Formats: sequence, C-alpha cells, structure tokens
Amino acid sequence: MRCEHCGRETPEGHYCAYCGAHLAAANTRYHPQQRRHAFAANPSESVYHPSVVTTLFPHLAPERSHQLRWILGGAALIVFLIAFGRLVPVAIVLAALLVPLLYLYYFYEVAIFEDEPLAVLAGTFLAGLVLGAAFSAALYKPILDQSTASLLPGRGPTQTYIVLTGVVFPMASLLLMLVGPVVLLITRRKFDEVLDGLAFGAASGLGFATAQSIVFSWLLITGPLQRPGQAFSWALPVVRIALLQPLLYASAAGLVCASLWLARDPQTPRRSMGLLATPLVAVLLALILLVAPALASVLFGGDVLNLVYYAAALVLLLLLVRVVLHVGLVEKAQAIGHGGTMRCPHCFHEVGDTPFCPHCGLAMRSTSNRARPGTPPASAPSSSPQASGGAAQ
Amino acid sequence: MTTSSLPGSHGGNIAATDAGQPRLAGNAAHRLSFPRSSPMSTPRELHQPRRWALAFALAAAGVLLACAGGNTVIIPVPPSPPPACKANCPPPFRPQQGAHVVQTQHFSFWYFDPYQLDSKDDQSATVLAGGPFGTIAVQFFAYTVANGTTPAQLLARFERDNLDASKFSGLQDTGPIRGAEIGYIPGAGDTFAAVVDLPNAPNTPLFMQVMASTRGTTGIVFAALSPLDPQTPDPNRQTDVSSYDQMVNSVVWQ
Repeated sequence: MRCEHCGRETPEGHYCAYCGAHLAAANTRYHPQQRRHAFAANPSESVYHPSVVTTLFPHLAPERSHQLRWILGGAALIVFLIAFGRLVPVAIVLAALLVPLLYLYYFYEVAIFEDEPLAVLAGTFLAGLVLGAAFSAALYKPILDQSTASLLPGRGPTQTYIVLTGVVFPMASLLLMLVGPVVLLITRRKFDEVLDGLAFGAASGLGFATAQSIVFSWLLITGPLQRPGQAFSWALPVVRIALLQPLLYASAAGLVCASLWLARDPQTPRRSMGLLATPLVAVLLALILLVAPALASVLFGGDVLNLVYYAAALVLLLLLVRVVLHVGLVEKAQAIGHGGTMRCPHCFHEVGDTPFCPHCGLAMRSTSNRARPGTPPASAPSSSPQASGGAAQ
Repeated sequence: MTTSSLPGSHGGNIAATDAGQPRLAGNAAHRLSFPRSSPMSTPRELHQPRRWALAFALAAAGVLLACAGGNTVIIPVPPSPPPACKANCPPPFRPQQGAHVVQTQHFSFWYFDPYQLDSKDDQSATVLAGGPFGTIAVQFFAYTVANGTTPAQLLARFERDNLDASKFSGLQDTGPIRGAEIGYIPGAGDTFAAVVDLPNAPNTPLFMQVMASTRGTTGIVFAALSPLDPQTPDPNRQTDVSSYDQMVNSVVWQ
C-alpha cells in the first residue's frame, strides 16, 4: 500500500513503515503524521502520558517496562517503610541509590554503552557522581551558615539562602550534570541517536542526585540508626530523595542532552521539530523546572508541599522529554540498518529494516541494542535466517 | 523461534546471542569502524559491563569514603558531647573581653564575642555566632501580654506560632528547662531537637531552646537555635548553654 503522507510503498499495517504516519487515522482528530496519541518509543501510550518508565527507560520492551515499574514501585515502598520506621541512615542510603542502580541495570540490559562501557559509565554516572559530590561539598558550609538564620522565628529565609539553594544550586547543578554527556557528545560520535543523549543525560543526572543526597545527608547517615520524632517527618523527605529529586535531575539533564543529540544529527527532519527540540529552549525549560520547585520549597516550603512542587515539576519535565523524544524519533526517523527482519518487541510482528513497525508504529530505533539483529554477512542474502532472526535465536 | 527468545524477555539468553550488535543506519560505515561484539559474544565480553558496573560501585564507594575521610574538612561533623562533669568542675567559660550591650524598648542584654548583632528593633533583637558547624542564633522578643498571663502560656503561644514542624524532620520536645528565668524573673522553658529538612541544603541536627517570662503586661521570650547540642557540659565551648545563660542573666527589664 502507498502512504499518502510520504508517498512510499509501505507494508500492510496501521502505520507507514517509513514516515511513521498513522494510516488508519486519516479521519480521526489526531494529526496522522504527528501521531501524538502513539508515543514513538511506546505506541500504546500517548505522548502526553507522563510515565517515568517509558520516558526515561525507552529502550525496554513492554514486559520489561512492566517489570521495572513494579520493581521501582516496590523498592520505593520498601524505602518508605524503612523511613517510616525511622531507620534514617538505611533509608537515605537506599533512597539515594535506588533509581541510579535501576538505571545502571538498564544500561546493562539494553547495552547502551555498546562496546565502550568504561567511556560511557565514566562520562555519565561517574561524572555526575564526582561533580555532584564536589559541588555539594563545596556549597555545604556556605548553605549551612545560612540555614539556621533562615529558620529563625519571625523571619523568612535570608536572601543569600534563597539565591544559593533556590537559584544557584539548581542552575549550577544542571550545568555540571551536562559536563560528562557533552564530553561524550564531542568525543564519541558513534552514539548518535536521540535516545543515547537522553540516557547519557539521565545517567549523569542520577549520579549527581546520588552524590548530593549522600553529601547533604552525611550527618544523618553517620548518625544513630534510629531517629526520634514523627515517622512521616522522616518518610516524606525520603520519598523526595528516593524518587522525585533523582528523576527530576534525570529528566532535566535528559531533556537537554536529547535536544543536543538531535541538533547534532545531520539528517534533515521531515518537518519542523518545533522550538522544544532546540537546545537553547530545552536548557531554559530545564533550568526553569529545576529552579521553580527549589525556589517554591524555600519560600513556601513544607513536607507535603515540597513533594507537590517537585512532583509537578517532574511531570512537566517528563512531558517535555516525551515530546522531544517523539519529535526526534518521528521527524528524524532512520532504519536501524541491519538489512534483514527483526521481531518488533512491542507487537511481536516480524518487521523489515524500516524506521517504524507498520503494525504498532514503534520507532525501531527505540529498541534495545541487544534486541537488534546482527550485521548480515556481506555475501549472505539479507533475508537469511542467520541475519534476520538474530534476536529470536 | 520460541517465546523465551523474544527480545527483552530473557536478557541472559538474548545477551548470549545478540549482545553488542553494531547499529548500521545512517552513518553505517562510521558505525562499522567501531564494531561491537559479534553475535556470538564470548562470556568475557558479556561480563565486561558487569566489570564496569563493579568499577562504578567501587568508585561510588570511593566517593563515600572520601566524604568519610575528609568529613572534618568537607563536611563539618560536630563532635560528640563529652561526658558530664561530676566533680571538681571548672568554672563556666566566660570571655574576658568583647562585651556588647543591646538596648530595646522593653529590655536590654549583654552579649559577648563571637556573637554579633544581626538585627534589632523596638521589640526584638537577634545575635548570631558563626562556627565550623553552622550558625548559632539567639533571639529575644518582647510582647505585651494581658495582666496575669503566665510564662507557660506565653511559651505555649510562642511555640505554636513559630515552630513550623514542616521545616524539620523528627522534631521532638526533649523536655522542659528547669529553673528557667530571664533576667532573674522566673519563667518556663522547653528544649527541642530536630533535623533541618530543606531541599538543596544540608540535613543537619538543630537544637532549640525557648524560654519565656512575664512581668506585669510585659513578656520576654528567649529563643536559641544551634547545630550543636547546648546540653554539652564542656565549659570551653562557646556555644554551650552557659553562653546562653550569660545573655539571659544579663537581661534588664525596662
């Protein structure tokens, strides 16, 4: 059948295998080419579905995403309960490591680092970890000096404290989180997919968040195993440390890196990708959404309110990341280049070497590196079982 | 093709067959110059990411140890209070110089270095002392109260209005201050311990002492916030309870 949007012959299905347009949606309210109802990395979700797992772990197959969702939720619940039991040092360490360890597993599971685990881990997790530790330690004393005065009865936070924790810290944090990925962007040009940028930025952000949580909570980690006071007053901040802060940092750095990777991609997009996909706008939005919850917490803070601020910023950032990923995967779509066929991890149909699965609309570049078939031997026909069924052997 | 070989469903098996395939699209030639492992990956290649995961874990542990080793430099950790003095105790430490007086409409008091006046108006005054473990803050507030208001009532009102539990973790009333008095006027006092819980800021312990006294229609509240436990009996420490005593006892009601 011929796609009326790109004019190419495409295999039978609901989506054009080359431009990703939703062929069955000509008469619906959705723009068939933008197909915002079917996220390119997980077509069963809308682009505007703020899912943590399918946004920050986009290479995972659906069943793995489902497993990860349960693991993340279950682990967060365990950390919450430990904090509720006021076992504060254990809760904080587990909270700080929870999401970064899952992301490390994700790196391994989908082999994002290809054959360069050292360079990628050093440029992402380690760079974030080291820079986060150094930066947090450097600002520890200046912020500490201001924090007591900011808690005095009858007075609000000092101007210096507001600027330090609400503006300087989040802004400088974002810039430092980008250092490692930008080095990879310059020195490792083979990592050229928008999802590589997202993963590298997110990993760097997670390393940074871990270091910040550990440095800032050092006196609690090295203190008594069980603390007095109300259980919720320990459990709520731990939720922020375990989930909201690392995911916020990961989303912010991931958003900027995804836009940087898109900007470097020399391929001309089919249509305009919009302002959101430009690095400058991405940086500005990431800065705003990092500064806003920090500033709101300083000025109008509270245990529950802080969670609300961070959760709201996280949802907005996740949506922005999804829009940028979707636009990048659709407008700069490319085939993987294996030359054979592979099983779509989303709908399990056999798919040729095309940018999209014609059956479910999945952008094939969002599949795990491990799921991609091998290089066909030069002498062998591309349809040979050896070449086409690598993932299913 | 079996179900167990579906991509992503069994990482181990898939890893054994596909790990490290080159991606070819676009700049395929460029990609081929950085070949990933062959479809028949060897166990050594498969273990490589785990090795680097181990290296990552070790590096993370290194950062933690660096924090631990350098905590006196990077992260100031307050020392534990020394054991209480039981016999032949030295006299309380008192600076021999650097005395200053603060005069307000309702009271005056003396403070000593290293405290410095931070702010003052007709009703209140705040002095701060910076230290390696954070800032110690001492405040005096004057209130006009109804005749007959007890110190305990004024204390309870002040605590209700000013102690925002949402800014702290583990806020705990650690007991009354026995023999509380301000300017030798008997009063009531409470002590609190908590941990500062502010995003993008160190989570440090905080100790609070609040005392209130009333005389006629005037009430004075003393509030002190310190990152150090003021109950330490170490007389050489500037920030212990004796430095608070010096200020509290020097209060002159106007």
